[in-house]
Amino acid sequence: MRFRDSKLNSFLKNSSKNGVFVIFMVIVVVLAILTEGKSIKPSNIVNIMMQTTTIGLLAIGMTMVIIDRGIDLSVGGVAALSSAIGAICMTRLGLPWFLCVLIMLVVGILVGLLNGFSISILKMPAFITTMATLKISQGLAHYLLGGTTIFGLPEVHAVFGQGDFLGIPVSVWILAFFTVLGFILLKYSRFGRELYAMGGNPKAAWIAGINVNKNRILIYVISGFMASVAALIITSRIMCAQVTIGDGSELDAIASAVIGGVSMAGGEGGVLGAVAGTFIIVMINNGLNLLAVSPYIQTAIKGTVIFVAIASDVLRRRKELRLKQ
Amino acid sequence: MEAMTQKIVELRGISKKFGGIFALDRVNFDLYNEIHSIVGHNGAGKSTLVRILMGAIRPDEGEIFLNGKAVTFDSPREAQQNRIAMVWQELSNFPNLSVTENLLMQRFVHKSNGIIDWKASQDLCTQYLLRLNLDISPKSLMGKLSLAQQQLVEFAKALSYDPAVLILDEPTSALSLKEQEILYEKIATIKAQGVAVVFISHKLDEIMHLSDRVTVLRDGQKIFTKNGSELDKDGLVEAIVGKPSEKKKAQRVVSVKQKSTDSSEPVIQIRNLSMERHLEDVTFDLKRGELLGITGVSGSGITDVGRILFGIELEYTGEVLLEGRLYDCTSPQQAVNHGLGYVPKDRKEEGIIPGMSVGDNLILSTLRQIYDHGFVNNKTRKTVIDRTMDIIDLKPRDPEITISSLSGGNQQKVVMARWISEGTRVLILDEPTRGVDVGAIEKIYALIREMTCMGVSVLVISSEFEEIHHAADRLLVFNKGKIVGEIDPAASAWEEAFALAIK
Repeated sequence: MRFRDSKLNSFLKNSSKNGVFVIFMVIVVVLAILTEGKSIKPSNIVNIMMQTTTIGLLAIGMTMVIIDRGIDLSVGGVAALSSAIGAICMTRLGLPWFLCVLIMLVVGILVGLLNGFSISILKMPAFITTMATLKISQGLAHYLLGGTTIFGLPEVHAVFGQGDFLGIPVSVWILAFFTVLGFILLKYSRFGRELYAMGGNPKAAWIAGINVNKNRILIYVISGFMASVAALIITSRIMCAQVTIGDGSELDAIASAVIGGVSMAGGEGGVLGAVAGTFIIVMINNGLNLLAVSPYIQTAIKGTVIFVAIASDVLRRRKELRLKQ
Repeated sequence: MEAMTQKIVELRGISKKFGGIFALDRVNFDLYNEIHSIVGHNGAGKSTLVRILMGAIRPDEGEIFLNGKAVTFDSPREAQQNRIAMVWQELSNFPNLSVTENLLMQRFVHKSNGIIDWKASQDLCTQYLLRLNLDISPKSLMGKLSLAQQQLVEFAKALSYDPAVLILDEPTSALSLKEQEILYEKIATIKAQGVAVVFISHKLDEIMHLSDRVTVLRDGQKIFTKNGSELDKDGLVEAIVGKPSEKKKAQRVVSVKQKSTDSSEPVIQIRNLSMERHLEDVTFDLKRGELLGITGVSGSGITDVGRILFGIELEYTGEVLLEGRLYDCTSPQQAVNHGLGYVPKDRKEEGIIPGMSVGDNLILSTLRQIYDHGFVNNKTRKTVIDRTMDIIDLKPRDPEITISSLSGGNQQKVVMARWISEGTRVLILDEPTRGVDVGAIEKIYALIREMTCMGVSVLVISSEFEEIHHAADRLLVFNKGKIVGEIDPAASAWEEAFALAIK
């Protein structure tokens, strides 16, 4: 009897959890039909996968932040700042390329440290803190670029965004690598398990002896780091640095995570879902492009997608709450 | 009696059962223009009685008369409309808003154009405050006031509804002696203004000092109602706890036999621990492998001892030594590193991680041992979960179900079992049997005893006098933040501990 009950429960839970996923998959199929199969041609799929990489990387970091009931709005700014600094080091300063790549990654880590320190130690609210660091990094990027675009990155830099390995773009390999790493970190590391506990009940996690502050700093450092990895790929793809890099990408990353089953209430979800969520968003975008839908309407549609995803998350949790009672 | 001629409230033959047990058994209670105290130990039925009067609980049997007319209240709101007001034990104000806003919430004075008239609202607030001769600015923030002042504002608020009956549930539990004095004075003022006051308290001194009449409840039955002038303290204590029974002593002998290692080596030494309003000069030792109980009524400071030891509460003076060395702990994480474990009183808020599985909840505090090099060794994880589930005998024995689906008792076992590990030397449990079913209580204490046999020193904080007296090797009684006695449970009855706690 208990067996049947638990089966029923898990079915109810899963179907409602995956409900939004299913809806979006249906949209993808509909788009494929509407574009007469253009959207699922191999060349287009590769295109989609490449577009998935940058947002997907951000979504991995964002997933960890949201599991801890936080938010990181600074990722777009971090990507812009990291690109600007990297490009200046490569061109005007003429530093060795490898060193420049390192510097770009360090930029992300430093902004992440600032976020993490402010949010965990100083107890500043994540939303406003990361909004401020978004503006700080965007402003600095603007200043450094002086309103122009920096071209002339060394040839070797093209490897991240344009290179292939075994017929698959290097950027897709990078996303795959970090997805697997993120998955292992969340599922099989002590840090990951503590993270879910912190998201599920922060006070109980603290009382259980978990080093909440250290973990929280690490989360934002990871998120900043992922943003600078995304910056590497973008600059490599367009072989230049411009200030619009990363514009609005924080919302795409949040949307990806939520569509992929990461709950805004914390303690739930994982990177596999988040990356799948990114894929869906990109698919929808791409389909609309192929259908020549106005970019203004596309923005509205993207907003609707985020709205629906968050609404379904809230409704699902309400339903679960009722199931428990 | 002649002075208070008119009977304002009468409860006749009130009975209420919870889960087959009488919380109240045909209790009669009446109220004139007087201060009428209700006393009794935990579970005697005090709260149930006033909740019934407030319309928060429906009685199974019995009638309520208000000014001679039979009434039924379906909600506290209805009781309020009939001029019965209550100041609840827990403050429930808005610390971020002004006194005026707190007092007049939903009743602001408005101008004709619909905008709040702050000047008039503040004047009205001042009027209400003056009824109690309170010198508090209506503009000051509630959160900036002292606890006593906040409590008094709550009084003023209750009185602003012009009640005929005012119920005060343990209003002094958080106050200092001086603040209590102020409060008593105000209560007398309220009575002089024609309000009938029902006063609930654990503190016998203040009850003797304040009451016109006292009603004693024990195990859901009324023992007596007497005039304040007829009472003496010993008689009151005896009425509250009943005659110490011989049977209980006999029971004790059985569990004394299970007593674990008899050692006098102190693991934790607490020296002159003080905390403003909560603890005063507390000194005691926790010895290796013993089950030490500390007990007292709510507000006696017992909870704070645990929270200080575990690094949750940091505002204290005094010294704690762990195995002879100064122990200066500023976070739970440090406490865990020192080999301490803690099971909080509030299981839902501070104990369980609701969305996580039973298995994950079990290993929450032992993660560092299971995840060597930061990554999981699935075999170790499974072994630890299996072993722990065997020890606590959890049913259903499924580590993958969410912890929320377990009963309170089983959840408690899981939170306790977190600390079953080689690293744990001292375990602190705050009200370990709160909100668990009767059957689980014994199992929880069996588990505690098992841990002491493994050499863990256990400090159990409990306001369930009979239960902790039954279980502990040694029992310290707290009263108003001070240790007022040490009791050897083998040679005494639990009623002695209770008498010390309320004297």
